[in-house]
Amino acid sequence: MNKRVLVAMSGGVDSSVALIKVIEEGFEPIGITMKLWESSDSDGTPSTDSYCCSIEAINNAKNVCKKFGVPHYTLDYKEIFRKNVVDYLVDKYFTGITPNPCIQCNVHIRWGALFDKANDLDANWVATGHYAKIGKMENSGAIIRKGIDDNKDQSYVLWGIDPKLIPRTLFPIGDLTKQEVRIIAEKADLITANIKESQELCFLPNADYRRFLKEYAPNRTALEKDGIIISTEGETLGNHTGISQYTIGQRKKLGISGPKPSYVQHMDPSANTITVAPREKMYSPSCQVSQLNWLVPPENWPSNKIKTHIRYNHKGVKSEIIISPKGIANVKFDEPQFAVTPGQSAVFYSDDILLGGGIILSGLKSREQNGLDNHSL
Amino acid sequence: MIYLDYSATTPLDKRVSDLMNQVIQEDFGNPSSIHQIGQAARYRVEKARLQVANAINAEASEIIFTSSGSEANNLVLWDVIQRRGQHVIISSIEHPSVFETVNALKSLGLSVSEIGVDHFGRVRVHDIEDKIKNETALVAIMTANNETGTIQPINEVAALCRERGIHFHTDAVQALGKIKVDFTENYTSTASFSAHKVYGPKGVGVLYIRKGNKLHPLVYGGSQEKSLRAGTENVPGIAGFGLACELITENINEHSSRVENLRNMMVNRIISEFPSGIINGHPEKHLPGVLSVVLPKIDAQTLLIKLDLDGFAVSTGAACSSGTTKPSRSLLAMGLSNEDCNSTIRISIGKQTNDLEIESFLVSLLHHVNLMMDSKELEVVL
Repeated sequence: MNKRVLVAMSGGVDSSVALIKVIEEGFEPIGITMKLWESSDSDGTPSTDSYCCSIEAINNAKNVCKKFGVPHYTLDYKEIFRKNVVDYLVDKYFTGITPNPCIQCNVHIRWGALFDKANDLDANWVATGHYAKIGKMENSGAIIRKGIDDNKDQSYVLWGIDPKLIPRTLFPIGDLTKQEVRIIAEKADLITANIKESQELCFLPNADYRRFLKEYAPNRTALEKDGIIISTEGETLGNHTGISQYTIGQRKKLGISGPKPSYVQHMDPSANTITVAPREKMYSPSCQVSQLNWLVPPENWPSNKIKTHIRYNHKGVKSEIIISPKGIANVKFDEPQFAVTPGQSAVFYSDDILLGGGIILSGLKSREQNGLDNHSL
Repeated sequence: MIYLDYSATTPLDKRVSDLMNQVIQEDFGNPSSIHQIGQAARYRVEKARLQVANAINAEASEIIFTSSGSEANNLVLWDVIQRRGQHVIISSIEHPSVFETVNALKSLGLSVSEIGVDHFGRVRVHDIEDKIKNETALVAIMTANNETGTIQPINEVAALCRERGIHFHTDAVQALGKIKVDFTENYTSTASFSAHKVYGPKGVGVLYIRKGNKLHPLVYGGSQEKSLRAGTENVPGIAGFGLACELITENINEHSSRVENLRNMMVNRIISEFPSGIINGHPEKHLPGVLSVVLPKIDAQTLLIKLDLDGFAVSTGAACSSGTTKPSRSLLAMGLSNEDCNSTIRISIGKQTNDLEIESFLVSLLHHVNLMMDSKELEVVL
């Protein structure tokens, strides 16, 4: 088996150290930076406020590769990204659903287009700078585990990938903490050692998705109608400026006053209403999850003690999972969860083993109560 | 590595780098200084001016040094706005330093007509004639295209512009050193050149300004280069450009026929092996040593990486600052489909290229293309 590996390099410190680790392990790396997005201001001039995919990021990745004599190429995946990630994100927001584009990006870009390129270039392996680990399970072969740095674990965004690709995947920094990664980068005197961490979505400067929707989809934004905000009892409390501008659990900028703070509990695009509720009504005992993808098939799960993570950085809740013949998972939480959000991913773990996940269909109310038909989503 | 991307840039001629090292060390003076150290630097600049002028059969007084061919193009185009010109005509295959500049100038009131090219990538003079209006202040057509090497009918365009009293500018960056460049007969008003395409250093360009043409500066603030380009001269770079011009024009005919033979050798082998391959550009009117070829269904980006990993440096199109590839404007303008653009590689050769290099390159190319075609066919069967 050849040792050629494509290393996905964003120009950040994590993927730079991933390169160092695969070199140490005797692989033959090729650095790849994927150009996914061109940040531009509304007048079309290139924006400088986003590091990701910028010339600076690409050149930093090139610099790190050159330091180790590793060839580096920039691949242009802007079209695939726009179609599968950005358009998906925009579409979901306008239907009152809060998507997680990182999931789509991993499925279509890294474990999609980049693996295709690995095949074209006769590379057996693809390495990324995710904080996650590849492990082995007796009856299931290669599996994904959480990274050892609890604060940085990124396995949540990996549930959607094709399990057949796990044996060809390397996560060279999954055994390291962020601090260790920084130390390695500094010792190696990498130009990327002190690049500021970006917490935001790569293509959303200043993490402002509302501004992005206006600029990216002005026609759709213009067509969107104002509507009313109602209480769980159906009483009108105020007005909203279009469903795309709100997310489940949102408390600020609702423009309504009351003795207790209100949170967005439910959005109904067909009626164009937003339902708000006090905090105590924001908890759900269960949720339904569709578009399931298993990295470890349920029959091979090591135990029935499953933890479900319902959003990135969620600490997980013990759950009971029943999968319907239609491929919908009914997830019953040990304790009710705050702001279970349609469109976000429910990701299932057994200890630190990533079992798989799916997209949350509904959560806050049972379907009878809110009249939501699963099939309409 | 075997370098087959001379249209992107060329290696520095040893004699040029020797001279530049000497100038950097010895003639560090400011050419505008009165003392003898300044005078020595001035001598370098003025000698180079004459060398460049001789290479294009111009007078030294017609040569202005800039930082690049792109700056020279910008200087001419910004001058149109400064003299209240209203309309310009460019071709759809111009270098970004022309088309992006005129696009930017639209916001300052400039109107722009872009004329297309035929399937060989050549402009048609009557297309330009059709677009000329009373307000037309400038026509810009490159001498030869950077991607296909196709040579443009600039003598005819220059004659037309002269007859109508319109400024004619040509970007001759790719042509210099490959074909004879001489504006004495054809009344070109201005032309741009770049040192690093002719075995000179990066960061030096020239604007030729035909006697009698007046321009406004782009960089203000000093009397250098007849006040057209403020800033202390890049003396070693300019000296290097001068010598490079002298060296490249020395045996231009011999050099051209040699690289043209190597190019034809590649064309014959590629087409006999892959009859579906298409050579872009004009079959005769092209620069020697530039070969742009469509290998249908082959992903050029992947092929380029495979060749690079084998030690052969070629290009998929024009070198682009971010290193990404997008379908080439020039190829699209010639009528190529998006797919064909993405299946195009450019091989450009020069002084140091020899038969052996071309032979080993062809072995690698044919090997990879055969494998890639096989796997494509497999996909179709599956």
